[in-house]
Amino acid sequence: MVRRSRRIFGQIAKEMSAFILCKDMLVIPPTENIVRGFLIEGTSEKDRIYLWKVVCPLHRPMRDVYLNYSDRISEEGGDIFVDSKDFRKSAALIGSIIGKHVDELSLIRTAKDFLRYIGPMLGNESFVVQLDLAMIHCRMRNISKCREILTKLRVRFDSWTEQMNQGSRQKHSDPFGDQLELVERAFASGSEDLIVLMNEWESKNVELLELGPTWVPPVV
Amino acid sequence: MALPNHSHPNRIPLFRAPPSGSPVKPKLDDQFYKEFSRAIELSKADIRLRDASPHSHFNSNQPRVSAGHSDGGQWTSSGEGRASSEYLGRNGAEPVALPGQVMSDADPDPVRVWSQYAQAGVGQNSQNPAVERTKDILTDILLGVNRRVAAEAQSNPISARLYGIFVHRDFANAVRAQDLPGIGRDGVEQSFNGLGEIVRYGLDASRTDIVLRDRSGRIIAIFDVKTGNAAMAPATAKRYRRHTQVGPEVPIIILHAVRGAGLW
Repeated sequence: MVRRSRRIFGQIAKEMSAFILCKDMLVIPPTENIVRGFLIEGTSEKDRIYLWKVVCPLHRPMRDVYLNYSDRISEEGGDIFVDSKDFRKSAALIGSIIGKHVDELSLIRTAKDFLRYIGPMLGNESFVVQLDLAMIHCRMRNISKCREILTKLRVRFDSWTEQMNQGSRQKHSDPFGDQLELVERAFASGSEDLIVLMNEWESKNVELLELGPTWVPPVV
Repeated sequence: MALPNHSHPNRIPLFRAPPSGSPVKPKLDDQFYKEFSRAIELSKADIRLRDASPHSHFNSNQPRVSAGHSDGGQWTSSGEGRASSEYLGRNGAEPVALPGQVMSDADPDPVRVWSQYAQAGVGQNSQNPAVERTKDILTDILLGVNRRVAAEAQSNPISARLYGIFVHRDFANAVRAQDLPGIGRDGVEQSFNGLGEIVRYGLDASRTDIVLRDRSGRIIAIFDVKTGNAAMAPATAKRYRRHTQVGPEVPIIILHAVRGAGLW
């Protein structure tokens, strides 16, 4: 899949200067706090793909780009099939689909843009969304809002963890809980400390996702 | 600058906002039921249409077993799920099929579909009309898919494993095509990692068949398709909950599809 993505997206990046191929993702430069671009996901059906319009903050540790704020896009509402023997043809098809989404993605560069973008999700209480929201508020220096979200999140997360551990002899260590704790600790010692931590994680993610050629480092 | 509308799973525009200046603000619940009723009708009409279609759905595309489905496409001899094992022989007075029920070749229509709540769920009823209605729609879709796959398999025998793969694939395609409220195209075949993040297929993650969300994008039900009498192990249900970060109040509903024991 990585190879296929690279070949298709590489072809597009060669022909369209609006994109840079980073690992197997087609990225819209410049990358600040948020990576924007396109990603191919394989499916259970040969040659059918999910094409993602990616919007992902870089402020938390990640192993791969996560898609909670991204959309699957399609061709006229239908499925997308690529031709595994003809990458030029596949690139032409995908290029024609993604073109219309570039302007919209170009508007989402900073924490403030991201907050506006996820506006409709503000009622979403999933832990990941709430943690991202707290961190975004911290970056925007909305410290009391950040504190409020983190406090509520901790209560809800602990309650959920308790439910999940009921009946289990072994207490489960949750990777989300570990991340939440790191964020809480940094925030407790000062919002600037959390911002420094977020910048560190951002740099690591830039390296992981090979975003270097698109990256504009934050002004410290 | 206003951003355009998005079709993100967590931002699915389930309900159209009333026009500004409208003297009577319609109740969301009314709109909700209207949307679901429309979806049910569309779904039924589509199933009727496709049931009548003679075209074959088997092609040279070779699907893979979905990641995260350790038992996807696998068949077992008995079902062990507790709680409400119900129906659903829709489209007629077909008898109820229960886990472990023996069906024979003599059965004129051995294709069966029913649903079941996974353990550690909410029990017999989610108490949420949106979930219940979606369950009905998905069951109808699965019944149509299962019938077509079973009919094809009769003339073109395939292994149980492949049968399961075809049912999963065709069901996902059919649900995506319906663009159902709360599911859309994105709520189909989503993978979640241990952090509750949506990630790409193939990574270390739980692959869900269908995720139903409310207006804000919160997950309110997870649907999992099983072929045969395969049951969801409690550990699997727990892993789904951990990865999607939902509590026991969110039902995991298993949609079972069998083509009749005598056919194997």
